[in-house]
Amino acid sequence: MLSYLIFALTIGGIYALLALSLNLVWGSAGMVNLGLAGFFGVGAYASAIATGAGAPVVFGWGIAALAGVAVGLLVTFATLRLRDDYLAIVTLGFAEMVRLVALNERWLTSGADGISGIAAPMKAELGTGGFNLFYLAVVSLIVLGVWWMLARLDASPYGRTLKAIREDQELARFAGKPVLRFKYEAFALSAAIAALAGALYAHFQSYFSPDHIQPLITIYIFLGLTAGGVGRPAGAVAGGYAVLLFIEATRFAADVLPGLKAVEVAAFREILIGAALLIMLHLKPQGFLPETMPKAPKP
Amino acid sequence: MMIGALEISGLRRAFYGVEVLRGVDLCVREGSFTGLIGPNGAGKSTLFNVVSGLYPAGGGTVRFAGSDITNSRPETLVRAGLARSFQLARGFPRLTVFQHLMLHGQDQPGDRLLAALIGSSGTRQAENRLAERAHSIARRLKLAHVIDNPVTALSGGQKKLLEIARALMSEPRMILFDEPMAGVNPTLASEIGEHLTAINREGITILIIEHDMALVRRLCDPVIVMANGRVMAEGRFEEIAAREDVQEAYLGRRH
Repeated sequence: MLSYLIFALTIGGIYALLALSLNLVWGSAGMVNLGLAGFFGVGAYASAIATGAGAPVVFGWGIAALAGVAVGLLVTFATLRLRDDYLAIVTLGFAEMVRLVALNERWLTSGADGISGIAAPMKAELGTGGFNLFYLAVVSLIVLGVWWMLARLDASPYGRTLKAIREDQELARFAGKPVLRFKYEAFALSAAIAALAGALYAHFQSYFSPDHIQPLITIYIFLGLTAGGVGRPAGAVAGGYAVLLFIEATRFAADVLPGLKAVEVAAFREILIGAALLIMLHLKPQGFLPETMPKAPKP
Repeated sequence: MMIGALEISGLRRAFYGVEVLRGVDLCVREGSFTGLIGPNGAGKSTLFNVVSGLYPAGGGTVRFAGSDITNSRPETLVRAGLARSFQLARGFPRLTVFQHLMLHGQDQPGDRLLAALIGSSGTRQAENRLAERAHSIARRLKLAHVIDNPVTALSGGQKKLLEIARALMSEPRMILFDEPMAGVNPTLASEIGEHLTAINREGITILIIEHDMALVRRLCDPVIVMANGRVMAEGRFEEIAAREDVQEAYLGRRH
């Protein structure tokens, strides 16, 4: 049970990073990114391939983040001339594209077999139990660091400008803000965080395949962020952990629901997750930790 | 030769083949309080939108403070000292009045990603400087008591005042006002008129679109009349009002 909890908290941390990534781009800048799973996949493959070629793991994580920045800039560039809602469609297509490339470029990604034996840092030295605990600590520290950084950003003049862009990007230009630069930067930084989350996941599982790039992850993160509080980094962290813990908790639904077959339980879990979002949106539309409006300093 | 804050020549703009601006020539004198009047559909708001960088021009040139600004971006123009207000008061719904004012302050190094992440002393100093300015502008425009309110909680009149406050916050040399008194009660309208006069006395050039002729007569000199996408007359209000072609186009023929 303890090792299960350690596992759940590690994956919860990875979800929290994805939620932080989504909160930066959607919660703050108002850009809908339905391709979160794609950036997650890019990071996982980038780090798996780099470390497979002999790079140290930390180096692989850096490469994953840089790969995230590169594809983030590319996707923003490709959607610049499009109206905002098209960004959602293009990013959704982007994630599918990443999955298809991973599936078909066998020379690079081993195709449907996936990449196995991805380096697990310190696993030989620590043993399986020790490694899991060590990795939980590493992921938790990274969540803490990214949260601290994004909370700072949120409270800065930069964060204020991002929120203005979210509300009315045309008016933001008349406030003298170069909106395009902000969008490029926010999207690239967000993509880097999602890619880092992917890399952390790949090295934790030691295995990554195209099956891991599912739109369902993106949906879970949207769900978590909505529950936690859109527009507030602390809400993103809370939502990321909460959604994973809730999804895991529904596993035990089978024990309390007699008379359901395994397939039915799986379907019932999906229903529970959907119902939870509906109840959440009805009771607390702004999430557990809603966005706050800063008070003006006294004159 | 007269030096203009804003010099427009041969400015054109069409929408789907319909010419709305058909070669506008006008010059707004530095430091003046110039009125822009004309019937609905004359092209006044379109002129503002092209000059302020919202729409590209279809031809002609716009010069501001001596440099060519034709088709410049709105953000570039604001930083160059050309601010504007909107006919329908706009705002960022979930931001407070204070945040609006801070946003319109210029030269904030904290608008750079790295400076924001690292947190520079320059950012803090700029925030303090802008906050002081924001408070003083809010006091001046009677917005101090609602400074922490989101814009959605403001009254119609307060939104109009915020339009002015926002324009002032960017430390402009010139402001384009698009009907700043439309839809407010007469008392507030004349109060806004006094604010604008005071702003103009501080040396800020004003070009204003206004339909209330009593206010135009009281505030503006000179007055420019537009009709059918062109400038048809310019001069002191009394001169303009006496012209028969202007009366026919706009003021309504007297019997």
